[in-house]
Amino acid sequence: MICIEKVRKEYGSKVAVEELSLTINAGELFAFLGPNGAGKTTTIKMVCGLLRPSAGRITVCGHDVATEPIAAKAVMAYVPDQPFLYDKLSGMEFLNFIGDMYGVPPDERMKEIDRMVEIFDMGGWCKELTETYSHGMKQRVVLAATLLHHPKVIVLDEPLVGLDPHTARLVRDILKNEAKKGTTIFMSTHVIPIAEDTADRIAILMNGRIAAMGPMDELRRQSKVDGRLEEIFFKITEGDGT
Amino acid sequence: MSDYAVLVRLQGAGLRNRVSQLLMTSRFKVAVIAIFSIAFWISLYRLFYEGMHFVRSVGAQSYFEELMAGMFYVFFFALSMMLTFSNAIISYTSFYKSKEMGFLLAAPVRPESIFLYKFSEAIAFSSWAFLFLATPLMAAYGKLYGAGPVFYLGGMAFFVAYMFMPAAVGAIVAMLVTTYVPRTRKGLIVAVILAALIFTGSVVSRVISAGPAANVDVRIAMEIFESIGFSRNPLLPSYWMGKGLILLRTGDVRGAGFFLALIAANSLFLMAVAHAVASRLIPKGWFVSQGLKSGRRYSGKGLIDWFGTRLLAGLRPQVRLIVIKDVKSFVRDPVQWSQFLIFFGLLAIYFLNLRSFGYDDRSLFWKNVIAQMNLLATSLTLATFSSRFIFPQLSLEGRRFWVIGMVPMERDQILFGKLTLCFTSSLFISEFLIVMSSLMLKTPLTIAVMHSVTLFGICLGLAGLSVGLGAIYPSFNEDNPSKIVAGFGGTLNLVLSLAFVMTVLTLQAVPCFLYFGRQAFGPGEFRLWIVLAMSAIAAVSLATCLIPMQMGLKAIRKLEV
Repeated sequence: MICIEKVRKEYGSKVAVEELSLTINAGELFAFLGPNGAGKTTTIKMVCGLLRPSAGRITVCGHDVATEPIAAKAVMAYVPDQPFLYDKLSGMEFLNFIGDMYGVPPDERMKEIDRMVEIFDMGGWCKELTETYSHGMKQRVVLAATLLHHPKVIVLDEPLVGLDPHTARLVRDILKNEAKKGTTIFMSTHVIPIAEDTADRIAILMNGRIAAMGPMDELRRQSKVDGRLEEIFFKITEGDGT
Repeated sequence: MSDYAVLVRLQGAGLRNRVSQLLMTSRFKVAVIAIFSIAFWISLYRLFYEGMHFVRSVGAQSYFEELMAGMFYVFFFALSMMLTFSNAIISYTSFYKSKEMGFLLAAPVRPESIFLYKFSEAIAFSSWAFLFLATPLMAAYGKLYGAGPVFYLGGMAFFVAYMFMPAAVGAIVAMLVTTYVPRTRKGLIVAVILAALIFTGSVVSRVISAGPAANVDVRIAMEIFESIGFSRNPLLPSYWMGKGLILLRTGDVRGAGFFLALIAANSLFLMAVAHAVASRLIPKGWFVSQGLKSGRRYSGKGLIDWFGTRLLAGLRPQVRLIVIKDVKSFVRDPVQWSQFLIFFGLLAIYFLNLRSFGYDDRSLFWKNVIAQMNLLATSLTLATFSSRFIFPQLSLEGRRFWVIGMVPMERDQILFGKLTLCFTSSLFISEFLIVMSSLMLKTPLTIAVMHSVTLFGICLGLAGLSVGLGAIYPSFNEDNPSKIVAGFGGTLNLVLSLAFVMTVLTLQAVPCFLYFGRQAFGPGEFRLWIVLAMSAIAAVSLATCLIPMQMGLKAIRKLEV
């Protein structure tokens, strides 16, 4: 699980994330919503150890990301908002590379790669160099690489951008299944219906602070809007000009 | 406002912002690079001056004028070749690989305007090194003859006019190759490189050992003069350049003016051709390059994987994987390896032909001089190689840094992986070259061993310096290695690399010259000198490797992406 305690992140004089605290439990699918510049990607990158908090502490499955980064990363996988891959490796080579990097035994790795190639329908092109892939194809390779080593925590930043409707539904189903199996899912998204349909809890972030958080019922209570998440989101973020 | 004016304004705004950002946040950086650049320029100037002075003083006075002219022709010929090649590569990446091109081509902007906009960037990136090398040569030459201000001002005009010629040719080549031979681009690059290597090889091999002459110095001068006959072709721009500078020095302003006008006219003509070609081939080449799809498939079970896994079995698995990944990326990118091949291919051809020059029959003094020059050439090529290929290694991870940044391993391993690859590859190539040089020259074993050991130190120092500085000054938003290298960190790396090479070579050369040249001491003392020199080289090389690596490791641990 993920535990964020009073985390703050400053870029020079600008405060991107302010006194953020939240806990995401094992098997929970947690969605992070918010306007552009609200601090979603910054928070996600701090959870992954790609950015250092200016203050506060983040633990993943009990491992402090700042002091035990290797142990934390070993149980975690990350899907970035832009799926930049190595142009001169094929998708297959990239999957092998990730499998090896996470120490997945060769037999298991090959089995898993075959399974991923089938699930994400990559058979026709996964041996070509990734420089020839579209955004959606790269995103599928990254998602496959994410699941390859069976992480306990999956952190996703806008995972559905660039995916066709079939793959988007597939990803949504995979995330739900992973959560059912006990994997913690922490996802940021701008696709409000996806958050509404899949997330156990939702947080709406504004100006680096959590403006509202909880399951749908709780959000309705907090926002005093008895409607869909979209209406709740607009009500809460009303007047935010970012 | 014309579309080109809009692009110039955009470029101006970007440049202004970068400069003001640099001055606001990195004044120390600017001061350091300025001091190092000035120091390096002065060192080059001294080297050129002392070299010319030495050649004039060793008994080749009667041939000195011709030798100087010949040196100019060869110098500018070689620089033209390199500039054309480097401009072709930069133009290709700027015109057809840059993400900005998609945006520009979708905007209501004429392709010719895009060409001029991108061309100005390419010429700036490719030609600064030309000016950095050519101006100290000109200054040293002027000083040797006590030339006046007209020579220096006129010389600058020559350089500026000249730069456009190889840049325009490079751009035209890039546009033609991308548009008309896209599928065989890789093959074509190989063919061009092989042709260039064969041409150079034949030029070198043509040199005939001179018959008995008055003395060895005159013989060598004659041989050198003969061997560079091709560069005296009056149709070559490098000839116009060399001739013009010599006439300018002798005070023949009219004659020099003719050659300056000739260079300027040709530059303008080639620019006009490139501009006209761009109007058709910028969009056409873009469509072709976007429609390309390689049929080759990579399963991850190829030769590189097989050899890499076995040869690097002693490394940590994650370091090994990073090394294999980097090797694959290099081997599959013709833009990268073609430059590498040219760097070292030319040296290999030259070394293989050393016996054609009859250098193996020279006295010990001359063998030592030639062996030292070969070591210098190999080391300087290594310094350029490390600045061009090793320094940008971490930056080239770029926006993919999340991949290895998220892997459960210490970030130190990333740098150790890069260090391992860079050190072993540069050691393998440079030792191969210097052993070849020693064998062809039949140098005494002592010199051969000293040179091999010296190169070991140089490879270690250069690899550590470039990997370390690459981590201290990463440029993750830039995918073009030429642009990464042209930044602050790249320039600092090049200057420090050259300074390091010169320091180590001086430490190594002094005892050799004192012993083989001047017979200043006996064999016993020579051994002591060697031990001292080698200890100093070991200390300098280790410090040059370890200090930047230490700083690089600190930087990568703190790195935020």
